[in-house]
Amino acid sequence: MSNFADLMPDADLMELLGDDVIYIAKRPPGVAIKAIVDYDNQKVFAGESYVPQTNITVEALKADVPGVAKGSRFVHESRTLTVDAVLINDHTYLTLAVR
Amino acid sequence: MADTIRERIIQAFVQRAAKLTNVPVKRVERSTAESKQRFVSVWDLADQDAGSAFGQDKRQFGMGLEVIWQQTATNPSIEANALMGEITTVMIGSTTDKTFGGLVNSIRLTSSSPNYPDDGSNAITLTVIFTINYTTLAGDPYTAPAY
Repeated sequence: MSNFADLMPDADLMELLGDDVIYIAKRPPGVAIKAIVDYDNQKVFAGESYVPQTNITVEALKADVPGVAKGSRFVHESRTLTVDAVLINDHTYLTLAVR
Repeated sequence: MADTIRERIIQAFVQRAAKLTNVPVKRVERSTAESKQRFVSVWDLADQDAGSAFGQDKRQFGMGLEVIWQQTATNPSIEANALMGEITTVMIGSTTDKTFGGLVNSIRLTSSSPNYPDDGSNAITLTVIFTINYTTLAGDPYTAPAY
């Protein structure tokens, strides 16, 4: 009996769901890959008061982003996103905090 | 009705804090729109008894000065420490009127608490608490004693 993961390989899933981005490990021109870019609204508090802020994460297949590190870049819809930290690494996918 | 001494102190404090930003200082307002401008919000805290003298009520309250801004190129700790110095200078510096127009007996900077950006964020926050002592005529919160 086959399972879902076998029927839907990660590369196919990302091809289907991912946005078109350019990945630049260190210097241009970079490579075109698929990755999921998520814009999430959060609040930054200073005691009682807060400012809303857009937090951006990029989820990519680890194999698509060799050498990714703090300072690597993605270009998504003409906007350059710079990697700040690896939030999740399950050895297949990476979730990256960018700004 | 006239403003209480406490209210007049808060107004003077807010007015002075305006020097810290080029957008209006908020008073007990929790939020502003996402912005690159330095956001300053002032919070007056609990008022409590601080003793008495003949015909006078001595009182004390805290004033919170909350600031949120976007990190520029430098280290966030350096920026926060620079702002701590700026706040001290602007609010209670050696050339300022620490009586706020004869209303305040003493003002102390009690604490400065910076918080640094999360991963993927540029937002730095700083919460500064001042402790203010003031005096009114006994049972008359609208009138400061004449010295």
